[in-house]
Amino acid sequence: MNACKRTWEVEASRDGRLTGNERMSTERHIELCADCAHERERLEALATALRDLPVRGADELSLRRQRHELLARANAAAAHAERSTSWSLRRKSAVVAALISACALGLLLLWPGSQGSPAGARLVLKPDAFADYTRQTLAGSEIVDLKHGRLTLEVERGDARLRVLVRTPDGEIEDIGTVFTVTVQAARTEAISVAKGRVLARIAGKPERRITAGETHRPYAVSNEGLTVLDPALAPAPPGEARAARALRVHRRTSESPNRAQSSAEGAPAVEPRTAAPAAGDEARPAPTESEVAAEFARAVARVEAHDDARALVLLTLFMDRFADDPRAEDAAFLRVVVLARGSERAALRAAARAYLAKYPHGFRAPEVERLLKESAPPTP
Amino acid sequence: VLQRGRSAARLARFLGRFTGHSPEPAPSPHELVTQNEIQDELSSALGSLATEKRVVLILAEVEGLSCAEIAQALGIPLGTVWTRLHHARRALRKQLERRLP
Repeated sequence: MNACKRTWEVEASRDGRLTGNERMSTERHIELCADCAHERERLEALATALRDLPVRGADELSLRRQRHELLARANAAAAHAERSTSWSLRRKSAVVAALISACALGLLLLWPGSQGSPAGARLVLKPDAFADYTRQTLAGSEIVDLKHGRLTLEVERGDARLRVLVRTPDGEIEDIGTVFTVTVQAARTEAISVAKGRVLARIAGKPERRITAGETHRPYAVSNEGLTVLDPALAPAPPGEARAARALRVHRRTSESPNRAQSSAEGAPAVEPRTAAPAAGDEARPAPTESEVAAEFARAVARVEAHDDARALVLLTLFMDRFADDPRAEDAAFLRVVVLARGSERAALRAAARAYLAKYPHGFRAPEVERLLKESAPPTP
Repeated sequence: VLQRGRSAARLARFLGRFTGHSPEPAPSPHELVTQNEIQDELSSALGSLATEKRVVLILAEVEGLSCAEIAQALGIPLGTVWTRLHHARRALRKQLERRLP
């Protein structure tokens, strides 16, 4: 039992609960008081014993739980910090980011070999007689400035990452596909037609638009958001059944408003004559929902399982073309290879397998497709 | 435990030949057993503490964080850290009364 009434100050001093003068007074007292000196020794002994405890490794479950809690706390702290970040800090961050970007851009420009297209990539331009354009290569990007006329671009990327950008007087079109045509008239983009792959159209004052194979987009047709039509001449798959015919309908990429629906009905002149005819009796269709995409895929899979190979191939091809961005497109591509492997057309099988491997070189099914491709190779004499 | 102590002592003597440093005298078997018992009892006492008290005690005594740093890390008031630390020490000392000075 401690007789001194100031022993509590030892722990308080150790924990930093005392101010400067109080602490000095306590230190002087400890030098003179045996009880308080003993108290300090006891506290130090406890601390030493705790430090000497062997650290045992945590089990996997505890580690996972702790990691999860830590991440949750870190996320919460980061979100809070982001909300409370002051303006000046943001400005400083912006300046630093700009400096880093400038340095990176400078390095790219000065780096030997950064000029010109990446190895293995190729861009072919096919202008019409009235096309007025310039082409330049900057830091591995092909930039085409189209002032007037019609220009078709064919991009062969190979394994290289080639960025192709077409700048028009009122916007830009970025290629993420392979073959497309841009028409500029009266200093504005009149039409963008995609034969293969996809492009992104960014026209001034309009939302960014993704145009896929077989579509022609007219930014200034009918309404402010433009009109996208599926072009039968560019449509990749032959429509062998009712679903294929439905795919050729005029459809809108964004949700319809009543005014727009009305203007669509009245806006037939905005569509090229060859597409206006099949579109005349069709209603405008919004972008497909998740359930619709799932239903389309299920229908194709059902045909595959029923060994109805002809219909399965059509449905799978249509699915791949319509929902190229959907993760199930890869499954559809693989199923197409499987269906062809069941048949006797080795050339078609090899083509489908190569198409899969070109599009999904690291896909889930790539090893199996490679094996099928190898097995379907013609025997060497 | 004894075997481990002997092995450690042998290793220290062996290394001492090359480094020129004379190793500290190895603890006696009795000291090793006592130390082991203290550690077991301390582990048990530590495990009986409430989590919030145990966390504060370990952060302060083992990790060497100040009370202000602990308060900031755990998002609790400084006074709460002091209180938990005091109660945690008192509980441990009560359970290890025979072992610690």
